[in-house]
Amino acid sequence: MDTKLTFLAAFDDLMRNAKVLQVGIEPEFRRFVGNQQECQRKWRDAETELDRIKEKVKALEEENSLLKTKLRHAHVQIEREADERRRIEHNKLELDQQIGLVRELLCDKNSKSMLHDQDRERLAFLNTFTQQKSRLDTSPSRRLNTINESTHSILSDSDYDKTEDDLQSTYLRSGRKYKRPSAPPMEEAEPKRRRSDEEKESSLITTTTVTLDAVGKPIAATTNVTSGPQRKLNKSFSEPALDKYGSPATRMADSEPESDDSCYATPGNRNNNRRKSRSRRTTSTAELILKHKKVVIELIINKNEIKLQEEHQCNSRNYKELSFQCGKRIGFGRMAMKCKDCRASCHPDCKDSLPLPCIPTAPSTPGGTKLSGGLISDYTPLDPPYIPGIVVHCVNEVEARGLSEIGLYRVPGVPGSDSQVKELKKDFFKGKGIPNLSHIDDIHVICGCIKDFLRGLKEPLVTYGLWKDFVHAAENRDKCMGESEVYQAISKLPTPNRDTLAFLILHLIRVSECKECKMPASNLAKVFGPTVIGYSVPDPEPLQMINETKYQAMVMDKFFEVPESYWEKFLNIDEENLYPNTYNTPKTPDVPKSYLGPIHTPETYENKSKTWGKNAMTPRSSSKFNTFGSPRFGNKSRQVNKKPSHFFSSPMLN
Amino acid sequence: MISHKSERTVTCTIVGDGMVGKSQICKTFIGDLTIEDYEATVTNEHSVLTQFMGDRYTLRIVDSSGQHDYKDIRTLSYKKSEVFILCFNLSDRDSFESIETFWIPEIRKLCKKTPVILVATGKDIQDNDENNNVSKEEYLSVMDKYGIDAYVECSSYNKEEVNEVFEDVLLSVIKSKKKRLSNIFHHLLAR
Repeated sequence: MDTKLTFLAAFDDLMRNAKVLQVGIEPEFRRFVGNQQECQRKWRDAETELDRIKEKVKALEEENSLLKTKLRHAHVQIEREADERRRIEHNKLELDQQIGLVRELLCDKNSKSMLHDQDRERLAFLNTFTQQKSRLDTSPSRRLNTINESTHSILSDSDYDKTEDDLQSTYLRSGRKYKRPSAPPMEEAEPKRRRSDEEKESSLITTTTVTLDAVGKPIAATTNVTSGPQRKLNKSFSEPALDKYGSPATRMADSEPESDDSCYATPGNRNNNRRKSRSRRTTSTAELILKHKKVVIELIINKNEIKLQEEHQCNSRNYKELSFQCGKRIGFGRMAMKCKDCRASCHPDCKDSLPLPCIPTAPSTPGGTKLSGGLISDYTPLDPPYIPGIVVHCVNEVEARGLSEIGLYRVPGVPGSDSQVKELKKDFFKGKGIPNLSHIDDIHVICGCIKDFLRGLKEPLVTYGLWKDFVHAAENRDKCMGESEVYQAISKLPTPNRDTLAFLILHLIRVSECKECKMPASNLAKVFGPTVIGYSVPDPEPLQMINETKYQAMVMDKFFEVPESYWEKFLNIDEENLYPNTYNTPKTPDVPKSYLGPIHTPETYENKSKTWGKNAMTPRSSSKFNTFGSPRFGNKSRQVNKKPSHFFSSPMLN
Repeated sequence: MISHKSERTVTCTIVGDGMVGKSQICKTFIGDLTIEDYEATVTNEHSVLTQFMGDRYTLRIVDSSGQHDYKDIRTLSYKKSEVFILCFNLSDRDSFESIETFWIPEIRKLCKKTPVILVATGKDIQDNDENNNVSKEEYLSVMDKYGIDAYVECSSYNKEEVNEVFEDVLLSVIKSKKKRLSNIFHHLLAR
């Protein structure tokens, strides 16, 4: 029984223990699993977070590198700017020295009392401007200063110290300016005055009408001077414009020969004068081409008509050939006119309609046929500017009626134009005057003729010798360095090449400014690259050809970047030759008679001093004056050119 | 799946007068759809990978200059070219006529047997002046006269039409290859 009891107890015990096993642990397990899930979620979250952060880091790093490159670029740019600045400072210094020289000169004059009282008055008037200017002067320099300091603070580079030095020097300079005694006359104020005048938009338009009788002697000359909204006066008008400055009345003929004395000289020295007047006329016609849209066009046409009778030296002879202008034959034994210089022949009636720039043909070399292509100098006239007639006439024609043609110089024109181009070229060099371009319907033929002529030369315009110089200049990354190299290379060109190039580029710049023909400078550069620049050797290898082609357009682009005034200078050479040293010797007594200066009769002087404030001379024309005294080539002349002059622009200094 | 055999490179040269839209055809085909103003070309080369009739081709397109001045540099690429795309503008009669007077003589002087495809561009712009437009009979007669292989009319800005041009390019290359092979075969048989 006892055992039985113990068994029961044991069983009970066992059952109690087994009960533990029978009860499930699901809730705990569920909790555990839940925990695990939570863990897993957190883990995943952490991982995505990590990815995100990694990406962010990557992006930031990229940004960082980008900014670093930018910074580097900025460094380079600032360095370049600093260079530029140094250069400009240098220029400024030079100009300051020049100003000093001029001041001395004027002081000298004062002491010798060479100037009129009125001049003195005017100089005193300038002095006030000087003071104003010097007061104004301080503010820009301070502004420059802050800019410079900021750059300095950004870059802890030590090589920017130089600019600071420069700056200090400017400070000194401006300080000195400020303290400067106001006694010597200051010329710097002039550009200022001029500027303010421009702002007022007042300028003078001079229209001169000259009436001629049959002999070519002027009967009456009418001059109208009106002041209107600002327009640039043509340079070539400076002579008559200044001549009859501010006199709105009608002037009678007797004063005309005075101003145009070289045209109406005595027969004795006529030859000499004729040469002069011809060259001057050529320029003025070139000017006509340049600015044929200007208001004052009437004047120039009249002027040319006067001289045409001088110019086209028409001899009457009996000829049997095609008349130029009307295209009809000149009957055998009939009267015909022939120009001595350009060898154009025509009916006596058509004489007046001969094309205006009479460009003498080059003397023909015995045995040499011009069609076979020689150097450019073989085609140029004997007097400056050395531009072949074919180029001048074709360009004239293109500008007269081609500027609205889409794809000027680019599309080849009507089929068979190649042969037409050849024909035209042949006509030009036949030696019987220039063919009538207005009879050619397709302007592209004339364009083709220009291109064909230039391409057909034995040597391209830039010459084989200087080809490398130009390419090197065009390749130069530094803009101002490249520019000065271009100027240098241009100055090394032979004169005929340079003049023709200048004329052509000026023309192309005008074409590129015409929106209608859709030929921007880049297009023209590509089209004219092989024509004007050519290759470095006469017969390039195929590979060389491919390599050099891209430089052609680059050089042309560089040419287009050169300011127009630089090119124009080459076309104005003759005037410099005509009036040498006008500006170096201000005391020359005959200066008032100069074409560029006013007539110093008392009345006109009075008039002039009244209108002086109005200032008909635009900065453009005065900048031309300046180039006279300075060297024409190289860097220096450019600087002068760039900064329209301070000292010589006033008419009374002539 | 079609297995691609070795890729072939086909070189074609686009020629034609200035401003007919040569560069625009190239650009459209490549997929550069920017419409720019006229910009003269000196010479340009594009390489494009295309598929045609199950084969892969690398198409080298030489975009030449339309200036007659650039003759030297243009003709350099002629020898390598397997097919010419000769362009003219439908609304510009001069460009059509200079095909006969200038381009075909220039091509045939250097490459006697290379296939030529005539492409008329500017389908979308018809000139108001009837005389300026080129009629279908005219170019068909030119095609017959000079043995031109194919003729496509397109607008340089239309992708599908330009694609058609280049399909014709490949087709004519394949055809000319076959012709040459069969010629050689006939030649051998005739012996």
